[in-house]
This record gives sequence, C-alpha cells and structure tokens, in this order.
Amino acid sequence: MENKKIFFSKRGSGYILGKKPMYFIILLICLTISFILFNFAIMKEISSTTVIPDNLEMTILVNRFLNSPDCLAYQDNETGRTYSGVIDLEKFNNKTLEKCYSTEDGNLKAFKLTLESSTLDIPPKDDSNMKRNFILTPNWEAERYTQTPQYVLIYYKENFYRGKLLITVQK
Amino acid sequence: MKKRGAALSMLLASEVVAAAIILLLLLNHAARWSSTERPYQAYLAKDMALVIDSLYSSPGGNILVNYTQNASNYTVSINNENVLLYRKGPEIDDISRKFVKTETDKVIAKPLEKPNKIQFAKIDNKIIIDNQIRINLNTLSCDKTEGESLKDKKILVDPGYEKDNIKPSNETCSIANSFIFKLTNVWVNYPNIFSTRNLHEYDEDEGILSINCNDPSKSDKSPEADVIISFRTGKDNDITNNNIKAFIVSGSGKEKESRKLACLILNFILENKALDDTKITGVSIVPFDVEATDKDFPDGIKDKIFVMLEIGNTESDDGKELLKKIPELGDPISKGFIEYGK
Repeated sequence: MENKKIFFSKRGSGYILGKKPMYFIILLICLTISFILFNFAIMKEISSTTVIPDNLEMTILVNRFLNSPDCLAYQDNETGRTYSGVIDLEKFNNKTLEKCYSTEDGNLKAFKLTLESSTLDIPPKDDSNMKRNFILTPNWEAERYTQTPQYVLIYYKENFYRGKLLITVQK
Repeated sequence: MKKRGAALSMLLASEVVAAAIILLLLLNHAARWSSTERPYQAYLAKDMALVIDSLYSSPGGNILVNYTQNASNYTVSINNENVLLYRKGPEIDDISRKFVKTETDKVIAKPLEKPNKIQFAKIDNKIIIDNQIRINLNTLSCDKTEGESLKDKKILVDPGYEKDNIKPSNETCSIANSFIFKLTNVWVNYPNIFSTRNLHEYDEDEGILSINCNDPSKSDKSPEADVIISFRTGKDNDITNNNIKAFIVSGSGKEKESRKLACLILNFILENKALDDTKITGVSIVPFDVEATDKDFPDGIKDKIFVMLEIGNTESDDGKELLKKIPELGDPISKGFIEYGK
C-alpha cells in the first residue's frame, strides 16, 4: 500500500502523466550509462586479450627509422643500396621524420629521437640548417615516456662515425 | 476500483515488456561483442596493421608476404591509415586498427570479401594488398626523374664481339636485329640507327633495317652516337643461374641516364608475359670501371648513355631457352627506349 502512495494519487491518471515520464527518463539515463559502461568493459576486455607486446610494436616502428631510405637510413646514390642502421645525418630532421612517420594521432606511438656521438658534433658546426640533436614525430606530446639507447653509425659528408640513438617512446 | 486496477496492470505489463526489450537488447549486444570471434577479429586487424608497418620498415627491395592467418570470415578493407574488418558491414560489427603511413609509399588495396588468401607486397613505392598479387619480385625501382626523349638521338647498336670468333654470336645479333626492327617500325627513323657491325642496305619497300650477321668485319662508320646499346650472352658455371645483367659505366657523365635506361629495359623484360615460361632468376644493374675491365666494348662509351645487356647463362638450359626468344627480348628492349623520356 505504501507503494501505491508513491505511484498513485486519488486521481491516478494525473500521476501517470506527471511522474511516470520522469521515472522513465531517469531509467533511460541509468540504462544508457550502464550500457556505455558495459560496452566499455567489453571493449577493454577484447583489447586486453589481443594486446601486442609493446616491444614488438616499438621495434617494428623503430626499424622504420633505421632501415628505410625514406626515413633516416643512408642510401648509396650510386648503387641504390640502403645501409640499415646507418643514419644519414642530412636526413636527421623533423621534415624527413614527418614524411616517413606521417601521423598526428596521439593514440599511436610517438617518438623523440636524440642522436649523440663522441666523434662528431651534433649538430655539426658547419651545418647551419641543423639546429638541435633531436627530432620528434608529429604526434609527440611529451607526456609519460620510456627511453632506450641504440648504437648506430652516422654517415656525414662521406665519412662514418660511431653514434648512439636515444629512442624515447611516449606511452 | 476495477478501472484503476486494470490501468495498474496495463502499466505494469508495459513496464515489464519495456524492461524485457531493453534486457534483450543488452544481452544481444553483449553476446555480439563478447563472442569468441571478436577478440580474433581485433587480433587480425592489429596483426595486419603490424604487417603493413613492417613493410614500411623494410630497407628497400621487393617483398611479398603470404598472410598465414585465416581471415576468410571477414571483409578486409584497408585504406591509407586503417585496417578495417567486418562481417555484416562497416559501422555494424567492424573493428579497425591504425598503422602509420608515410608520404612516399602509397597503399593500393581493394576490399577483400571473405578472402581465402591475402598477400601483402611492397614493390617500388607501393604497398599492395590483394588475394592474388601478380608481380615479379625482381622488378627494379627506376629513377622517376624525367629524361630527354631518345627519339631523335643517334643510337649505336653493338651486337657483340667474340674473341676467337670475329662474327657476333647468332643470338645476340638476332636480338639486336629484333630490337632495331621494333624500334624503327614504331618510333625511330632508320637514319638514326647505327651499328658497330655492317648494316644491310635499308630496304625502302619493306622498311627493314638490319645488321648483317654473316659479315665478320666491323663497321667503318663510327658516328658520334648519343646512345649505345651492346648485347652479350652471359656465362656462369652455376647452371641454376639464369640472370640478365645490365652493365653501365661507373663515373660516366651519363651514369644516371644509363642506369635509368637499363632499369626500364630490365623491367620491361620482366613484365613481358611472353617470357613467363622462361625462368629468369634475377636481373641487376652493374656499374663497372671501364679502364679496369678486360671486356671488349665499343669505343667512346664513357660519357654516353651506355647499356650493355648480358643476357642469360649459356651454360644452363634455361639460358639457352631464353636466348632463343628473339622477338620476345627485342620487343621489351625497344619499349625501354621508348619509355625513357616519357
């Protein structure tokens, strides 16, 4: 009988028109929220079952920087041969990186590549075009990141130098 | 009271029905999303995106990947940034995963409906995705810069010199003649064709110009040719090899142009379907130092557009077969000349 007091007045029809829509609106909002949460939980579960190891994805993408002649890898113009793991210092700029890693999507991995060498000044003193020793992918936002070093060779003006590439990956 | 009671039960019934519908929708949605196929679908999309990322990471050369996972229950649609997999339709049950494109390599793919087989290939600056890719992995990546047309250039054709036999070999001379025939037939005026060997008199009626393969003497007419092409047969003790090599002069003033011409000729040979039944194991462009080689070349090749084609391996059966394909070789070589400068 208490319930009846909540849902019905003496003029029942008035209650039906007045309170029921409100009840349904609240119910609809609750259902929508639970639906979205439910959906999100399922999507998260699916994603977690298909996670690709972080290292694998990172390695593939870093290989692009180091192996592709369209990226940083040195390519001999005469023979057309590409030298994997040899960085052509003339390609070490944001413009080249943007061409070979063309995304502004923050959900994809973002990189900062810093080049160091004990035998070569980076940026070289005789190269006014190169201002700094690091380059960034277009989607870099400098939030949480991890860093790994990789030893490389640097090609600059027909000479090879030892160097170290610090690969910073934005999480 | 009766009327109110009826209204109440109607209301409760409608609530129950509404709740049941919503519950059913939720369960249906949950069942759809949580089916065991969804993780596999998501895995396939991500895996394919990684395959494409890997192709972008390759240091050059041509690559063909036979995709081994089973995607035959889905439609696979790949554009420049996304791999999209669905069963019923996009935006109904699709899952997409992104890969990172480059500005230089273009993705060429059409939607594949329930593909039994998927192949990924990187050829030149193209990433191709299809269920049956018909490409020759030996295809070379040619210089894209425009060259000057060879139509009005003086072309010197060298069918070869033999050390102990002064006559050019029948094969190379026939290939050279086939090349001249194709070229003069569709493109170049015959007065622009010269040879290191004596030519037959030009036949006005038949419109045929050809090298006299039976004449052992060298031609005494040595014009200032703009382009020189030599033909030789190859010899390799490894009979599994049957290659075509294009030698160009390293350090020549026209090295870039020679490389481009050589590249076009080799690619046209590889693309020639008439040679499909002949096994060609590889093609390559070989720059050489003209002073450091003992090979016999025509004079004055250093700063000319020069390509020496070494065709097949005379030690192997495949090589012998290849050298019998005279018009099948002459035609693509002439196409290389015509394509150069376009």
